[in-house]
Amino acid sequence: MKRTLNFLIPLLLVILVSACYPSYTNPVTLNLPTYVPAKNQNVSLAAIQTPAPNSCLVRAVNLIGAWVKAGSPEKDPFNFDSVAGKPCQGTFEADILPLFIQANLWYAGAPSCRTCHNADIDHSYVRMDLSSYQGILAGQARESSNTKGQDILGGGNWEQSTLYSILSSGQMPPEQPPGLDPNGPLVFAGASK
Amino acid sequence: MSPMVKRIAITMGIFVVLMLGTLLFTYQIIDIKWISMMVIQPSYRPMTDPLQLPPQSVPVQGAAFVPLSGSPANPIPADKASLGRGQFLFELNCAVCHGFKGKGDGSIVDSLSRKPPDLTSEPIKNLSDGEIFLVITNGINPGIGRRGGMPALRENTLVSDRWDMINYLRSLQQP
Repeated sequence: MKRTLNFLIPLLLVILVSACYPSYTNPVTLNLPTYVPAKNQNVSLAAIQTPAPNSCLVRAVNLIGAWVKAGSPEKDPFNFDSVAGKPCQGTFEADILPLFIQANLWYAGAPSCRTCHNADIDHSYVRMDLSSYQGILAGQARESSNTKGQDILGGGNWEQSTLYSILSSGQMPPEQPPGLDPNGPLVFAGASK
Repeated sequence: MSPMVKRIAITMGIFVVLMLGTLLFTYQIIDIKWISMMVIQPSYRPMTDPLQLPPQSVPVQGAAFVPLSGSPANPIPADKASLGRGQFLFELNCAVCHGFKGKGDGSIVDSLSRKPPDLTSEPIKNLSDGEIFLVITNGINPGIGRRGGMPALRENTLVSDRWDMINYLRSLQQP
């Protein structure tokens, strides 16, 4: 009898104590995702424009060079040759300015020129403004936004200009991947004559 | 030899044999590969390369932009969720230099050799969303030998995070 009690009393105690705890018959389930579908809505194709049918394919540096050799006109059209040797005509506003204010153009993921060289001369790198016609002509190392600095267009002599040496040597835009054409990317510009 | 001494000698003998046997295992003269359940699992060992992705897997985020297509367009509308998330990320990633209101007055400005620009100024307002996106993505490299710049945040932020930050920055630029 005593041995039976010695066995039963602890057993009853264990049953009593365990009854005081909440039961875990319904395990907590977490809604963990098992499959994450691909989300491609991060890319917008809205900014991509198809080139005009009669536009000319030309290297970006050669295009700026043709504009400088023509006397860097603001409104008047200037002549240039496409890579196929076709005579074409472009304007500053439509064909030259986008090379300075478009990102992701000189190479994949490239910053635009005006990202660093903008109208806020005090914060702009080498105190130069490449975001507008007046800024490009005013040059680099400017005292303030009202003054002109050193000419970057070589005074019309494109091969001797600072802009040409910086662009063709691959110093700018910065962090270029190796193997790019020294004359810049192929762009559609102007219209064939 | 008394039985007492004999018993002690046998006991010591057994003890020494046991100790020597243990040493055989300690110095791996006898090497038994015990099964450890934590070892048997897919994990990176020290100095091993990361596992390759399964074949035909796709990036969950998708591409960030189409290369050489000009400044990418902002795909995320500036709704309340985007702005709220953008504010959190802006204050986490940008505010230390550019300030909580983007005025270029962050807490570490005094120790920088080149002051960060006021993000609410006119030239930054004129930048397109895509240009700002690529600045956040790749940072600003001022060129060899020049001071200043900005670190790239492409490893710290998701693609959608950067667009959210831009949406919030645009709301800061409103007068």
